[in-house]
Amino acid sequence: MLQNPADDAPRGEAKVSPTLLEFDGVSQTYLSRDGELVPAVRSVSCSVQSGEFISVLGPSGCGKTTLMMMASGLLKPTSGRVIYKGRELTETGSDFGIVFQTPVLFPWRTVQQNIELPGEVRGVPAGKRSQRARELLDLVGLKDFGQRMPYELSGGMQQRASIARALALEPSLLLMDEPFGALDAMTREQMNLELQRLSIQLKTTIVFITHSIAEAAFLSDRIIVMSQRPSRVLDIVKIDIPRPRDIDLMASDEFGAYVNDLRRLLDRSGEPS
Amino acid sequence: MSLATAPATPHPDRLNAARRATARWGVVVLTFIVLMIVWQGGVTIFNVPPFVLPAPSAIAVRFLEDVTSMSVWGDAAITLVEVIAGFAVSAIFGLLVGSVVALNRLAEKIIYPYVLALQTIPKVALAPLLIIWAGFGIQSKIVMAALIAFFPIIVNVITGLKSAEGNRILLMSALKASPWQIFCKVRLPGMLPYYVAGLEIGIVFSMIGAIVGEFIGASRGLGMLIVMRQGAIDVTGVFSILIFLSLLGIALNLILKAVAAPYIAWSRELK
Ligand SMILES: Nc1ncnc2c1ncn2[C@@H]1O[C@H](COP(=O)(O)OP(=O)(O)OP(=O)(O)O)[C@@H](O)[C@H]1O
Ligand SMILES: [Mg+2]
Repeated sequence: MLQNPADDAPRGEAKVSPTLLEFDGVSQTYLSRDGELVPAVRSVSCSVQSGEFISVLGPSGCGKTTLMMMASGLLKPTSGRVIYKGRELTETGSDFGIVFQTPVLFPWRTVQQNIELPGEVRGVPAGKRSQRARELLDLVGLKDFGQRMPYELSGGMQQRASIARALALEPSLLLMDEPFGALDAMTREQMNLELQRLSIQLKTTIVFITHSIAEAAFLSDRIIVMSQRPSRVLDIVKIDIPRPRDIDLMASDEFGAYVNDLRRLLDRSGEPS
Repeated sequence: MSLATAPATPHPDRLNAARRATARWGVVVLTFIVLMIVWQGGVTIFNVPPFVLPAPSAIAVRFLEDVTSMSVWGDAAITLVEVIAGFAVSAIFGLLVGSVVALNRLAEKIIYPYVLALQTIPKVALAPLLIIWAGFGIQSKIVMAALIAFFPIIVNVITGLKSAEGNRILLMSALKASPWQIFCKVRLPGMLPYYVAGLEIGIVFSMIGAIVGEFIGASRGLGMLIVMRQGAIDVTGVFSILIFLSLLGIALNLILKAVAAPYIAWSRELK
């Protein structure tokens, strides 16, 4: 079994894009309510290149959300370092957008006002803020829905709005925690295509958490495969398929081979997920 | 992608809903009429003397007299001022104290026991003291109204502020929002539906407070009128004032609902 696969994966490539985010022996141990130590993530080392679409794939409860929280600086690692743009992250970062599994929109604000929220918090002038919000509404396909209230939108549309909100401050890094996990299969497929389009168009670095093998394989440049808790990095799989990728790709042998590899890798992690 | 816009013509479901609403009101009105007939009939058949239970027709006549005579309106105005002033005081203090208690552990430990203690004291028993402290005039009634309305308001403020969704706060933290920004943009707007619910109870309670205050001792007000008319065994007159009071209560409640509606419209759309 690979002990530290993180180190060799990026080294093999031509170093055209600089490292944006790096985990250096990062561990996280929670203290449960009854005083027990819960090791959630164990010495993870890996790096994310600028402009890369990278997925974190692993069974439920393996520590994916924990890893993402540490990437944002919202959660301090128990040990190890998170390095963002060459500097160790010691507090909440100010250059990332975040999308949760649920849209987390503010129901008392219109969709447009929701997208303006990050600008409001950071003191962006009103004119610039609403200009940016309108651009983003257009970008995520909600052009005519800015003045609607969140409850007037379908689940998929709400998640689009929350992606727009995450992009409001033009972050270098977009963190997405199972953003389509609550959507039905058809909407999910469509959102995957939309997200691919966005990532090609914006060239934003995306860390995408999922436990869907197909979703990870379809979207990613590379996939970090995690083991059961306490999770380690099992392997980092590079998906060598040019983009934009078509939805028909999912039926191809090439894609199937990747999916099989990934599944075998996850099964090998021991316990069933 | 296109989404169905609001239909131009009423949907059959909506027509049905309108019909059902009419039917419901019909039942309400019908019940009232039947009740009045039974009351009127009972009083007439059993010859109940008016100082025990007056007939609804007599009450209606007396109410119309009171409505047209200026003196009752003057007393109603006094009571209204007491209710609104007391309500305003507890609405403001409920919000301020409730916010402090909800957001600060230490403040909660220090303040909340007193809030609870205050609630367990029967405030009617405080009324004589209030008259000693705040005088015979409207001040003591305002304090009484405020005291009674305070608890439902502060409890709702605390519950509302504490129920702020964790993910919304996490999102704000990810934006590096200050505690004040989190309060203004997440906790406060999310708390408003709770606050309004508290205010709706509060305004009714402050009416009770003002009337109780007037019972103990006052020179003006609807509560004082009730005491006076009761002293004169004018039961029909007491009922007439009761109608004033309930109409006043309903009016205040409706005004409050109408003023608050635009701020909390969103909450009615969620499940
Ligand atoms: N605040 C906490 N206190 C104690 N234990 C926690 C805490 N947060 C997470 N854990 C534990 O850490 C482990 C990893 O949690 P995490 O939420 O990161 O998993 P996940 O991979 O995101 O799971 P899922 O796919 O279900 O979202 C879990 O076993 C969980 O019980
Ligand atoms: Mg998770």
